[in-house]
Amino acid sequence: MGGARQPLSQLRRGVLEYCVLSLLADEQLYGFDLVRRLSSVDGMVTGEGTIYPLLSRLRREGRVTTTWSESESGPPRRYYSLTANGHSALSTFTCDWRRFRDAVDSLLPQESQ
Amino acid sequence: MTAPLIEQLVVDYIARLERAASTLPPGDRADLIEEIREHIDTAKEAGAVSDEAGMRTLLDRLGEPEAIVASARDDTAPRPDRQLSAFVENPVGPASPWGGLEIATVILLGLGAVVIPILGPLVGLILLWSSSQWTRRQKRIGTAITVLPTLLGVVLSVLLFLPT
Repeated sequence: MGGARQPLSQLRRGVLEYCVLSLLADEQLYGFDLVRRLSSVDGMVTGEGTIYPLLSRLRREGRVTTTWSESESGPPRRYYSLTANGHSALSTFTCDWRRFRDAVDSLLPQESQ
Repeated sequence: MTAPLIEQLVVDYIARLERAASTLPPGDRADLIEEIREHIDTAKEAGAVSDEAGMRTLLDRLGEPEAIVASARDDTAPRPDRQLSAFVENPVGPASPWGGLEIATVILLGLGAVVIPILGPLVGLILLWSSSQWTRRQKRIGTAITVLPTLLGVVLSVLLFLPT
């Protein structure tokens, strides 16, 4: 972890929760499935376990809710889904992000073809 | 016969997590351990873990229990609602509790004038302005409360002793 990676990890910290909200926008998921989808995107997740404290916080903030479902074997598992509050946080962020991304792109050197 | 070995890996991992999580609030700790357990169970059920190596990979991907707990601690601190400001502002943690310097500041500003006139409040003011615990506005108020009575005293005594 060199100093040069620091801005990227700060960025990741900021956007990760909205990526979680976005994955839950259309369907409810088990923690495991959610985590695997996030980590299939390169550079998004460093330790898969750290998603769970994030999910707890989103639940406390009322953006995510859990429902229990019976599993084939063993105790019931929790499904995560988005609340109305979570949907509105996601759409606000999506607008903010597009503006922010365009602003940064307009200042950074152009991508060479 | 690797099944007991796989189970042992899980037991060891959860035990490490429980140890690391002992500093978290009880509710958070129970949730976290339960969720990690479910993660492992779901993976097994989904056929993502077939042997010992598979389980090691699964646990590696979860990360060090201590790192998970550290991130839980970050997420426990209540944070104001924020959007993109998270990128723009400096990454500062939650406000630190009052340290010795802050306590010394308040004592010096309050009692300093009685115990060590002039020097006491002066040191207090320096401490006040060098602390990151207070906002600018709070620092201005603190300074005014400390300096104004002294100024008032000086002005009054000049007026009283001035030959009329």
